[in-house]
Amino acid sequence: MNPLILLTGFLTFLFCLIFHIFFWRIRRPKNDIFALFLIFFKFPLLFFAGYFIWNLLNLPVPLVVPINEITAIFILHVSLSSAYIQTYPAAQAISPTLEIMLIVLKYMPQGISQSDILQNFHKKKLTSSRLEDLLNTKLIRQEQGFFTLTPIGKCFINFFVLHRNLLGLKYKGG
Amino acid sequence: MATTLLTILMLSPLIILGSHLIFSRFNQKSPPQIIAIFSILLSYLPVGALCGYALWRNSTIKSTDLISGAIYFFVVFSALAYAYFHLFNMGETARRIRLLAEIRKVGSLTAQELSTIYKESEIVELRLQRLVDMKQLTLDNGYYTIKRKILYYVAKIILAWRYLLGFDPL
Repeated sequence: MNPLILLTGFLTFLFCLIFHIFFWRIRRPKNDIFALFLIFFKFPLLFFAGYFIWNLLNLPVPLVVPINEITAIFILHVSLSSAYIQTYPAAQAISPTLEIMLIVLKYMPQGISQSDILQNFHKKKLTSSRLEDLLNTKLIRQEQGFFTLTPIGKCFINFFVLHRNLLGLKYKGG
Repeated sequence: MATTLLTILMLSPLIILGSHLIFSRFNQKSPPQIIAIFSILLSYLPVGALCGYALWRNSTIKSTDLISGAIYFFVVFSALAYAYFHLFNMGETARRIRLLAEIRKVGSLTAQELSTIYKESEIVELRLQRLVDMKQLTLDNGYYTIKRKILYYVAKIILAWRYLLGFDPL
């Protein structure tokens, strides 16, 4: 395998990551997951497809990487992007699990009781903030005070239900 | 050679799923995350062997191409395995998934009904239990202490990343 594939794949991912950081610092989009999919998947796909078509038409452009290795580069980019997008929610909505670890460490070595830990989460809006995220990412809608699943929301949760059924686990989350 | 390697890697999430399926159904006692991690680590063997065979079959391959092929396999498979673990963990622990699941069960719910079904105290209690099961925390005489600092360091990295992305501090 041409070592240039590794380099190009990493650089493509890095470029998307830098763009993502820059864009988020200027104005974070409301539907941030959709924006991440655009930045890390759709735009690179369009770029690679365009590169492939450009080559097919024999248009003059210096080829950095042979065209048959574009797929390998794209797969590397997609795998790195998938890993990042799966990590992003932990930063966007700071995980209570990670926050608990930070709280407990502050009380070392004597430790901290459950009630004191709960006090730290008082008024943190652990569920209402997530409802807002679900509304922003259009997985649920709110009508006359009632939350219902959108068609995308139904597909999304049904996927998890199916996955957990395959594993012999009850669906939960939480 | 590259086509075979790429095909194996694209199908590798199915191997992870298959491995996870087997261990999950036969071992319901260990924490689910431990089973998932074990399944993923075990999947390195068959996927690595298949990719290694795909690379080795090409007798004209240069040593630099062989090394870069091995690195490529490791990076791509590790990234896909990591993404799979997080996907599974979402179904296990994510608040959003729980909220979607509760709404799915009933059809429609108000915010008040949701907060009755899914209490904030439950969110913290579940996580404390999980952290004890995963041996990250110890519970002794009603007090929690850190047993292992892995998740603590992860939390610090996540906080730094939040800062970089311009999120409000905690």
